[in-house]
Amino acid sequence: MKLRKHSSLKALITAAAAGLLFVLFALVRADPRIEAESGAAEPPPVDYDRFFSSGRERAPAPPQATPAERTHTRTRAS
Amino acid sequence: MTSLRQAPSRRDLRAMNSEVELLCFASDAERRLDRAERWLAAFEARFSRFQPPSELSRLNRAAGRSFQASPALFALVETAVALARRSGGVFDLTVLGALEAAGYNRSFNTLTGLRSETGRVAAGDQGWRQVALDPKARSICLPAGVGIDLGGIAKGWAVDRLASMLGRPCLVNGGGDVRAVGRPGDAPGWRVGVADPFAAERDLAVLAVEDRGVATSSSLRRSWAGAAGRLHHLIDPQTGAPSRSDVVQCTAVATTTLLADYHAKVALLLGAAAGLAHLNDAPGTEGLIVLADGSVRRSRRLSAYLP
Repeated sequence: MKLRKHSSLKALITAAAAGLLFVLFALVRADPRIEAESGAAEPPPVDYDRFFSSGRERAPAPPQATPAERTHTRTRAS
Repeated sequence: MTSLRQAPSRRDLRAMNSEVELLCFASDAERRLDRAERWLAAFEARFSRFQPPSELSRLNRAAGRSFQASPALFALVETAVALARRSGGVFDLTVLGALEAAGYNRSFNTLTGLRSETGRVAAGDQGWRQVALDPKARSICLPAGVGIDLGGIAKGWAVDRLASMLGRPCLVNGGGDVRAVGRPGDAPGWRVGVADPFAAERDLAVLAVEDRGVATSSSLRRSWAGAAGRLHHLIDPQTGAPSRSDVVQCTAVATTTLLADYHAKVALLLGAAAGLAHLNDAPGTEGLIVLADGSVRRSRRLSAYLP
C-alpha cells in the first residue's frame, strides 16, 4: 500500500516536470528574437585584439591618408 | 615686403562653370581675395561665350566686320592666334562652329540638345590664318560667319591673373587649371594631384610644383551623346569633329597656366606618339598622358616634379 502511494507520487512529479519543460519550450519558441537568432547562419566574428584589451590600451590604427589629404590641390579636366 | 601668415586664407568660388579655389598667405589676404573675386566676376561677364552681352559674344556676332576690342580681349585673341601658328594649326581658336555643330552650344550644365548658330570653317582650313588683327587700332576682324572659342586658354589666362593678385606664395585652381606661386612653408613645392580619368577620386601622380602652371585636358569630360555616338568638346581642326585621338587625358606643367592648357590640348589632339614628342620638345614643359586603355606615359623630365 505504502509502495503504491510512493510510486504514484513519483509519477505525478515526473508528469509535472515534463509539463513545465513543455511550457518553457513553448515560451521560447514563441519569442521572435530567439527565433531570429536561431535562424542566423554564423555568429559575427570576434575581434580578439579588442576583446582582450581595453579601449584605452588599444593603439589606434595609423590613419590612412587619402590622396586629397596628401595634396594641396588637384588638376583635372573640367 | 608683405608679411606672411602661417596658414593661408582660403576662398572657394563658382565661376567659368567650374569650382575656383584661392589660397593666399599675404597678411592682407582678405583684401586681395575680395579683389580677385571681383576681377573674376568681371572676367566671366566679359569672356563667356554663353552670355550674349559679353564682349566675346559681341565679337563673334560682329564676324565679317572690324571690331574694336578691349586691351584684354585683344591680348587674348592675339595670344591665341600666336599659339595656333606655333602649333601649326593643331590648336585653332576658330573651331566654335564645329563645337556648336557637335552640340556644345550652351553652358555645359544646361546642355540638352543639338543646335548650331555659328558658321563653320571647313575642316583643315586653318581658320586662325583668317583672323585679322590690327594692334594699333586694337581691332579684330573674324572671317564672316566664323566664331572663336577661347575656352581653356582664357581660363588659364584668368588663373594666371588671379595668382598675380594674391602675392607670394599662393595657389589658384580654376576647374583643374592650377597656378602654384612660391612654395608653402618648407615644402618642396605645392603638391598637385593628377586626377585619374577612370577613377575620379584617385590620383595618377602627385606633382610638386613651384612657380608653374598645371593644366589637364580630357576627352572624357564635357562629353555627351550625339547621333554618331559619344561626342566631346575637343575639336580636331583637321577634321572639324571631336578628336579621335588615342589619348584620353593629358596633363602639362609649364611656366604659366595658359601655356600648360595649350600644351595639354595640343598633346592630346596629336595622339600618343606625337603628343609625347611635343611635350618633350616644348621648352620648360613636361607632361603626362593617359591612353584609352588606361596606360600612362610621362615626358622625359617629368620626374623633376615627382617628389
